[in-house]
Amino acid sequence: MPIALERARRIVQVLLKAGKEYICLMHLHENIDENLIKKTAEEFVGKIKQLPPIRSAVKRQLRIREIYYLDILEIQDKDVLFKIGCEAGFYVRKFCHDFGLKLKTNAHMAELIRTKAGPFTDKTWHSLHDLKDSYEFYKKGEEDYIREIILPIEKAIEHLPKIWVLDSCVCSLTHGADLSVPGISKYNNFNKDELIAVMTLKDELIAIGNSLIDYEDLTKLDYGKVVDINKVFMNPELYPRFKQE
Amino acid sequence: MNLLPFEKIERKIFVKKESETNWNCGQDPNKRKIEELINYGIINLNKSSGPTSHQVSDYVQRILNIKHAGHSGTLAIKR
Repeated sequence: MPIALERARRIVQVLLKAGKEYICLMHLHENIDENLIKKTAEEFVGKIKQLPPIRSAVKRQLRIREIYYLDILEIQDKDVLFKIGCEAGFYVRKFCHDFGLKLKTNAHMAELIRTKAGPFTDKTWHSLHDLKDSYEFYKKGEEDYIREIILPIEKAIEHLPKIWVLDSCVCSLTHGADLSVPGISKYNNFNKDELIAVMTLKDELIAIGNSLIDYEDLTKLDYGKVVDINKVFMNPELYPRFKQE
Repeated sequence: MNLLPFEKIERKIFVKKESETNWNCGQDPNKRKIEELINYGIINLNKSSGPTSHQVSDYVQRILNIKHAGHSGTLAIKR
């Protein structure tokens, strides 16, 4: 579970929209043939309709959500352990319920672990105890340990396409200006209307926004808006105001 | 190998305008001071199943002596 600190807090909105992976233990209310469970799992992969559960934070209306992959890891009697990669806003608890109905029985979610949230995976996570220990070490002057645990905000946008801008353009972006072609130094491949991370040439996050064109258009253009900036993260005082020479 | 859509995209880098950066302003994110990270960083936390996401955020605030820590979505509502 990514936790963003103080000034970095708003970055969680980027992670909310990112794909997720879970490992889930589902409990079926009847014994079902293993092959039928596996076959049903395969049928669920792709875009499905889902009604958010009664206790949820969003409006209860049918939504289309994609299951990218679904692997049955183990089946023991009525317990089914699976790994699921899914679009943001997918309810695994509801999925277990729907899975049961498809098998003409009932099922519920028994355990759930999130193993990926955008660029954050279970391979690199730390416990609260690790955090506490590392903070104590840091207070005693040893900072290597805490540096492994508290990551720069830039880690949270690792999965987004990036555009790197000239130093002279950074200040105006931090004041909320949109990004135009002349300010751009380098860029990744990106689509139109995609979430873009706008970076300095030192790989610092400046802001995020939506692309108004795709990268092939950008290759051909000399002027015009490229990114509609919607959230600024960088402190405005870091880079000097651009002076006309 | 199971990958999420963004993990399958190969990100290439294209150059529009070659430019140097001035190292007198800004900083390599990996060289930020710990105080700056505590004020502007992110933790990939392994949330044990007991406390809620909200409680965990609260523990993080207390450990680091800060006012705000935000999590990215609740995992599951305990019945």
